[in-house]
Amino acid sequence: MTTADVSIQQEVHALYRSHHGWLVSWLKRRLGCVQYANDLAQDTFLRVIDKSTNFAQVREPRALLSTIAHGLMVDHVRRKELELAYLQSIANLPQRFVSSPEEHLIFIEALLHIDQLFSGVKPIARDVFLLSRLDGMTYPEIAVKLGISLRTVESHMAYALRHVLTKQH
Amino acid sequence: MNAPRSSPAEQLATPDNAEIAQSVYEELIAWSVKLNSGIFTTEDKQQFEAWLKLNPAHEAAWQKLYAVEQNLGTIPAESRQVVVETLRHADKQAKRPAARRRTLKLLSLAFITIIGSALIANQYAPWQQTLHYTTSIGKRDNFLLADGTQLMLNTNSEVEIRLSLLKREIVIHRGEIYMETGKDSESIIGRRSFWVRTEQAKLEAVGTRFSVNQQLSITKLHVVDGIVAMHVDNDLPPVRAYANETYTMIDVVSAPIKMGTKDDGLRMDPMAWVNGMLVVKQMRLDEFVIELSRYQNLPVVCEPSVGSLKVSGVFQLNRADPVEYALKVISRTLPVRMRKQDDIIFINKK
Repeated sequence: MTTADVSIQQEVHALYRSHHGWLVSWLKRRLGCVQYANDLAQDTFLRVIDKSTNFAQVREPRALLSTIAHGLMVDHVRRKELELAYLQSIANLPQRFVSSPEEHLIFIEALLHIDQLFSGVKPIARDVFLLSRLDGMTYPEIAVKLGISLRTVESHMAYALRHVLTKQH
Repeated sequence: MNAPRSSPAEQLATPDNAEIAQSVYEELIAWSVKLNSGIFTTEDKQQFEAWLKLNPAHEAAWQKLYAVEQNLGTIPAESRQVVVETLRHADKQAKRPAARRRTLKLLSLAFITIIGSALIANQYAPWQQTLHYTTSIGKRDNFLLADGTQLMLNTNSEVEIRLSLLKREIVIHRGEIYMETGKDSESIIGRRSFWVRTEQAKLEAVGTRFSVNQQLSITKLHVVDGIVAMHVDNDLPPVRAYANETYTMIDVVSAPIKMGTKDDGLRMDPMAWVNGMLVVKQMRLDEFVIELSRYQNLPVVCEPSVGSLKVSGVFQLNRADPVEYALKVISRTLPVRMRKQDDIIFINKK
């Protein structure tokens, strides 16, 4: 382990000691569940280490921690929303839809990814893109399914592509 | 790609995603809209391929889009039909604050972590798509991958790029490559692991610059920067290669063999090819000839009596006749004579 690693570790330990309790209670107030608050606090610190920030220079560590924790909270809520929506979708399917827990997890991950990729995009443009690229439908088929003109399908497609290509991460 | 053949630093400085002009994106969008319509001609497709080759930025923009589609490709076919509907349901839910609060409550009862899924997701390989890159004899080429990795292929090489949801993998079918691994900033799970697979080994890179050479039954690794873990035998722990070290892996030996470092023990500079040069120090003539032959489709026969003569020097590879040129140079300093007959070069004692 290099001296730089050691000093980062010490900084993280200091951060953890001074703010972990505060972060857990901050999360508990918002989530109403101490176990979940503990888990998310843990995830937050993991994320902080990942970012390999220069902690000594962080002036407002609590602002940093609560920003990261809030982001994680939103992600988890969205994940759960997607999962519920997925269960709803497959409940409507005529045939029995079986997937293993692993397949289920991977699918939810993929959904979350698509959801993030298209956040801020008109849902109709997202649908056009996915029907074309995922379901393999031709533009005339999409036009019929969504009840829009062929020209509109093309413009939605261009809009979705522009978003995907120029999205800032 | 029509990148000018200059220094490696310049050659590898292909525009990164941030620098791709909006006009390039617009052109790509127009192409993509057309090609995805489900109604296009082979002529359209040929024109698109010509457009891709026109400018490295075109290729880089396309790679970005391709990465998105590859990620979509990891969704099992039978689940695809419900994606659009599921996202619509979720949209509705997000619009209703009461529903959001209920979700939050459900969340505290059970929630899913990504860790478990990461272990299993690699089994989804059948859905991942791949990219192929090749170079012909005497050519080198640069590629910028969607994860930010810069890849250079040496003469007569073939690789397969597999970018999946959880892992980046380069399979070398033949030849030699140099990589500067990318930050992978657009991945949803953080930086994905980076692997290079050859016939002899699996190499895992940890944020690094390195070169791998796949020859018949031999893999050679040279690390410029960072660390590469070499997995040769499944029953043994991996061996780590550090900056400036060169290792060889062969079929019959279950551990990598350390050949030396950049400054000590190597008869050939393992990175010189990136600059279009062959740099050798006290290398046997017969070994030198084998190395040289990779760069031109011209057989060279070295008479056994001169095989043990030692060659030192810097030889240019960026020319149409690297073999004849290099042999002409060495015939001035070594007691050998070069003779060309029926498109074969013979090297004899003077």
